[in-house]
Amino acid sequence: MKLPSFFLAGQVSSLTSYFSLLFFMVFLPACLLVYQVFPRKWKKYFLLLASWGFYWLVSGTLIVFLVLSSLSMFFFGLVLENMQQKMDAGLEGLSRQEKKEKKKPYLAKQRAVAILAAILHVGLLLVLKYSGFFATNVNSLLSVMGTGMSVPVPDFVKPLGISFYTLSALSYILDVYRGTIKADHNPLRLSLFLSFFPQIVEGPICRYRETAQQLWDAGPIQYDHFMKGLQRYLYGMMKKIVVADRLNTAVNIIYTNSTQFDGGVIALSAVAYTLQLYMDFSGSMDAVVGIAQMFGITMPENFKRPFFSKTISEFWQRWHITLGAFLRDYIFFPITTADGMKKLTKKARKKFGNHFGPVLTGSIALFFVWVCNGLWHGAGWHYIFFGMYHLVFILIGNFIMPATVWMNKHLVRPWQAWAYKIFRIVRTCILVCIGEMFFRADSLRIGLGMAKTMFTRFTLKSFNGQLLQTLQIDIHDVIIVLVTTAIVFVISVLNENGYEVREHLAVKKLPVRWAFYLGLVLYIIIFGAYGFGYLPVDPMYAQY
Amino acid sequence: MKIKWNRCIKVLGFLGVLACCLVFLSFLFLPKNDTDEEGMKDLKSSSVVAEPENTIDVIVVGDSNSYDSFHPMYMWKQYGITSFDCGTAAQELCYTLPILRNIFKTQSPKVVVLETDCIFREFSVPYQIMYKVNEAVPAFAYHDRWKNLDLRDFNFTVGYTNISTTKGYEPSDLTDPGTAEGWMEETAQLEPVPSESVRYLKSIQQLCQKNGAKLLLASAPNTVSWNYKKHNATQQLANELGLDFVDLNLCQDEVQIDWSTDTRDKGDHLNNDGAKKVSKYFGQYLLDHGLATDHREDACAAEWDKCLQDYYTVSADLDQ
Repeated sequence: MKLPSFFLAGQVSSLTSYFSLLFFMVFLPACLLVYQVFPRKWKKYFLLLASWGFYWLVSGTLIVFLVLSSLSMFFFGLVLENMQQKMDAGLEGLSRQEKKEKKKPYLAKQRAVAILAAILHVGLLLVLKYSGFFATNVNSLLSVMGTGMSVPVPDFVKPLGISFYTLSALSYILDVYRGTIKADHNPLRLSLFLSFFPQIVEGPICRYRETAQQLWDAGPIQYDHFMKGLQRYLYGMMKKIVVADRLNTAVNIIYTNSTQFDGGVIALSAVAYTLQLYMDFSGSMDAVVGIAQMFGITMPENFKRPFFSKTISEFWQRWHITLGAFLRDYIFFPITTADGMKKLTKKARKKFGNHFGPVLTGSIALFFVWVCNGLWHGAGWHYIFFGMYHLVFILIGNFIMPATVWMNKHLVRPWQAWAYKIFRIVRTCILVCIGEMFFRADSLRIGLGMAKTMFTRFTLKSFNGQLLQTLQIDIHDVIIVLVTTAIVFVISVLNENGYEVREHLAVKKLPVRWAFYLGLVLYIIIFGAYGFGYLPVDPMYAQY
Repeated sequence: MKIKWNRCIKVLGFLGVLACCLVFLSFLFLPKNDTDEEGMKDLKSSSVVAEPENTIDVIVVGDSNSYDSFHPMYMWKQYGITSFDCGTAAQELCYTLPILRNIFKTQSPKVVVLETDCIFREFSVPYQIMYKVNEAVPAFAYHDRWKNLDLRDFNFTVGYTNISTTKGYEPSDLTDPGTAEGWMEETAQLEPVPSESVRYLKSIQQLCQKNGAKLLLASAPNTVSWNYKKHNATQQLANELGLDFVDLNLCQDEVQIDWSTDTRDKGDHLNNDGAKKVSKYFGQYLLDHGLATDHREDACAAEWDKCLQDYYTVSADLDQ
């Protein structure tokens, strides 16, 4: 191997998939083995080295952005802490009233530093991810105005996971600013928190207080942790390789040729894509949580059986939980608790009552939350529409909440309550599938066209053998997708009802456990969509 | 660190059971015949397994240029040479190696001809792993056969009976003229050869040596993907490894490819007319260098003549 390849910088992009052969047969076992033989006090450094190595292999010199983000976090954390200490010293011995008065300039300075940090981190993300979108829209505007001018459309390479680690970095700085955590004086611990290799590709968006110390204190691999982690990893692999990757070709064919299909097929594609996205993203999250668990680290969960949600609002508390929590804590709360907004809420409460008043002003904050949510997913109007789509249903849900509560209260018979619950779940699932259709469409125009076809040209006439041929799948593929989805559904129902499948499995006798593990491994090997005839599918959220 | 032997034995036991399952699945999923219905991968080239043992003198490997340029039935008809195209689309050298290993199980070719275009194709580490895993555990390569399993598969008996009529060659009577403008303009520059290709080429050379076959590098005429820089790099590599290299792109006077009639896609691949010209020259080269013999009087001739008759029904490019 020639040295100019610089230790394979950026040449091993297949590592981005946690289920690629290279990752689970070479990189992960090597990391686990070396980690285990390292002395305990060096394990954390090895984890950092492995994480940087991972990033280097996938992205090469783009690692500079990750390191700069870590250094920026470290720097701003220390600056903010320093300012807080000066403020505390300056306010010492003063009366409460005097403190209140003198605190203001200190707080203003801290706010300025926090805003500067946010601008730097978010600004970099905006430039790398959104400048092309912005320039394209400016050009469209200039063209409409007939100016004959245009601005160049930049096309920057995005560092892997920048949308995820930027939010983690931002949450750390804002938490230090708010005083909810203390600044970390160890830049290596911060770097490990930001770059831990299982989380860097698709999140979850970790908070400093949840994972930083855990990672730094990581000890030897425990057999039980390892087995549970492996179990979770294999479960995720089943979701991704058997279902998501199998659906990929068919979904792509429909979405790239959407005008050639009738409403029935478009509706099917909306459901199929939603299933694909869920199996892909939640499967990858199972892998992330599982791999971390092998090292004895507990990562935050990103999914909590979202398709059992009764409302869109609940759905977003169960789907991509860490993104929702970030937007809640750093967009929604700061807006709703701002002085101006508090006054507005007070006025609205007087005018529209205790329910509609706060809901009305809360809607302003929610608007920003959902613009950010849409934009975070990508630079495109269809993503913004995706955010607004969910906002509308959440607002409707908020406004009609008294009626919903009344309904729940007056459905006294058990079957009525049960049927109503099922109705709400199915309704939410349908709304989610429609929303995901806009999300997946290549543009808003295509998404709207698909929606129009779905509602105006709905027919089931196309559901025949010819359709399967067009979608390049066969009846066996359909059966295996349905069976695997049913398996995931049953496990989800059990978990939803408090029956922890993994805990119960752990106490079973050895032959039962072996049979389960063997069954799972063989199921993936036999029914996985990999190898000849299948294209490897990158994790879907790795592009965001 | 205290080793818990009890646990180690359990883990090894589990892996042992898993290995047994994979062996069982490999036998189960392995195609029982070299036919499309049985799910044989790369059927065109894989059918070499059905040829009677030790009857093929010349094996051609490489990417599409190999099975578009070297015409086994023409070489049989013209020279009595028994050859087989084992090239596959966009073949990478890490795939060439397992293909050859499989061939050497039943054949003892005198020469293995490697079409050199594939030397410049880069391939990733996962692909190398995938081919190794597929070769070691066919259950991975053929896992998708669960869709077509029947009771005969549980018999585990493999019998390859589907003798290929074209011997891996892909006949094409299409013509899409190309231009030879700027083709093979002399230069001293070298096209970089991926380091992995060099490594695999050495392994292929060793494998051929071990099995008594000569490895010959040959470049089929191509105005799109081949150039003088690649020629220089291949020649240098051939010199380093002590291999013979025949660049048919520099034998235009002898081969006389007419790029207005002999290509099916503007010079990237040859059609039947081009392949016949290449095979005419190359067949004579093989005979002249003692790398193949005329088998038209041998026992295998009847089978090859029958294939030739069958070939006439598949393609009309050879005169009856």
